[in-house]
Amino acid sequence: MQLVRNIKAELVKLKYPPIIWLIGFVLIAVIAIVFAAHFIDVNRTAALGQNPWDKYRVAVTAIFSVFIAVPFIVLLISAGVFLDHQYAIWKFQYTVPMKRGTIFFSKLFAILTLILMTFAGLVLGVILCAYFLDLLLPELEFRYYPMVLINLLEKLGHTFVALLGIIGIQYFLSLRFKGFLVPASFGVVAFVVGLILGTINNPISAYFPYSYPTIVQNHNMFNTDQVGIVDYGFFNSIELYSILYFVFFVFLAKILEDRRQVH
Amino acid sequence: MIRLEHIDFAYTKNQPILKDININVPKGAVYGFLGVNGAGKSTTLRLIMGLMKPTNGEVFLFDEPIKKTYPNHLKRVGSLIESPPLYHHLSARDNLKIWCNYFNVSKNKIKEILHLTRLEDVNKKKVGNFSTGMKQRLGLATALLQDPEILILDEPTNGLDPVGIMELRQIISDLNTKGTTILLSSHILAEVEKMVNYIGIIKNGSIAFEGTIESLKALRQQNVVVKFRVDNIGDSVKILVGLDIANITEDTFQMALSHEEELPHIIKRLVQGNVQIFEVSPIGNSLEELFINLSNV
Repeated sequence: MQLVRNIKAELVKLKYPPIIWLIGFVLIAVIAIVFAAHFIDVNRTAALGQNPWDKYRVAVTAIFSVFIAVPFIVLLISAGVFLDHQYAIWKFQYTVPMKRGTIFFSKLFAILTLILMTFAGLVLGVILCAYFLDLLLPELEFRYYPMVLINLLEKLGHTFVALLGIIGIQYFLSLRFKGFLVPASFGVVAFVVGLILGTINNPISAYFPYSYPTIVQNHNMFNTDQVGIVDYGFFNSIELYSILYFVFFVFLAKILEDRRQVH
Repeated sequence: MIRLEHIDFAYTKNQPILKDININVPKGAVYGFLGVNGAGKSTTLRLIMGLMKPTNGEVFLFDEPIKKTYPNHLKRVGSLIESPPLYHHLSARDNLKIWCNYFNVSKNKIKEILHLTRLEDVNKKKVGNFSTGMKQRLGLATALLQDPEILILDEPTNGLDPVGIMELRQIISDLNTKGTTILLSSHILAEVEKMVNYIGIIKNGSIAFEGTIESLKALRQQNVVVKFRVDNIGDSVKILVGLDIANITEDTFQMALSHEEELPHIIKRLVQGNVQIFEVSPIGNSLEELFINLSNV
């Protein structure tokens, strides 16, 4: 229960205008791009006798996973942890009667909660967008076919798992560096490198977490990767690497945080 | 309540910050921890709060070493180390909500604390728009959320105007009356002199003085230097021959006394010798000057 209270506290803290703007921008950007793609090129997107939700789902997850999710994660974590550095919160935070580890995980879980809330907002937004498109362009026929929400959730679930490695690295960097610039710049540069490596299917991308959302997306959509991804039930090898990166960097950050002398 | 035994601390081996610090803060005391900037006050307070670990020695709170009781003892301790822990984009109420959740304290407490720190009228205002004094009071409010038995404040008067200092003094006095033991640091004796009943002075990372405010005042009464302005210097010097007279001018001289109680006798001898005395003034003998002598590097 204390953990839930801590997460609630952290979520109050994250009512930070730049973070709210960032989440709003991400949701609007994905919805706007999907909307524009369907609205402008309705003849290509509408196909007689085919469930339009299949293409729609692919479009949503591709746009979000490849272009939006990584910079979103980088900026969200950098800004969220930066708040504590900016206002010198640690000197007080570590005098609350609980172990540093509890505080450490509370902050991490609050960030994960906010990411999952953004995912939920995205799901809701794109579904509403589809029905709105259907009102404007009845030939898209969204209302005549089953949406199969679980398929969309499954795709976004893969994206989330592929992002875990980046979440771990960015959380580690944001705790270690007091400024916003270092973790954010590192993340943005790594995103660009990851996007290039992932897009050209370079084998190195299998070891570079910032490529994971792209290569997992390619693998799930086209199964055309040259990275040698192996599927193990729900997860594939890249997603397992992502989880390992997450565990490693979170563990490392926790050890360093436990030992930190708070000046 | 708070005891530090033989505390050493250093960031690097060759640069000791604290050397054999021994402090004893009795229950119910308001303890002023004084020293010039960089003397080691904030470092000492951080060690007490467990934010840093000493190289040697032991910190005791409630008569138990904190390394054994951590983090449970922190339920009974409130602190404000340097700047108040406030998110400027949130209101005073939201800031307190955060810490209520962390401390597992009912949100009903917020109203009471805002009243105590005289912030109820601005509880919905963003902290970024607060004055320094209001921020300091809100910081104090966060430290008081769990009704601590010990309150540790690092430079609480920093940036406060005289009205702010008076308000803080009143709050501290109220808390102490209710039984809270308070340890507060400052580099200005005059600002805390009226709040505290115990004093510790730190100099170059070592304790130069510790005792009651009365014992500090008693120290002031020893080794007094007094300046006299008289009508006849020659007669005065003859009357006081053999005593420690210095800096003789046309109509003034200075005299070192081992205790201020000697002064009436000196004046009596001069008057009996028909010397007219126009002025007698102590030199370098205010409490502040004594503090500077004790704490200066």
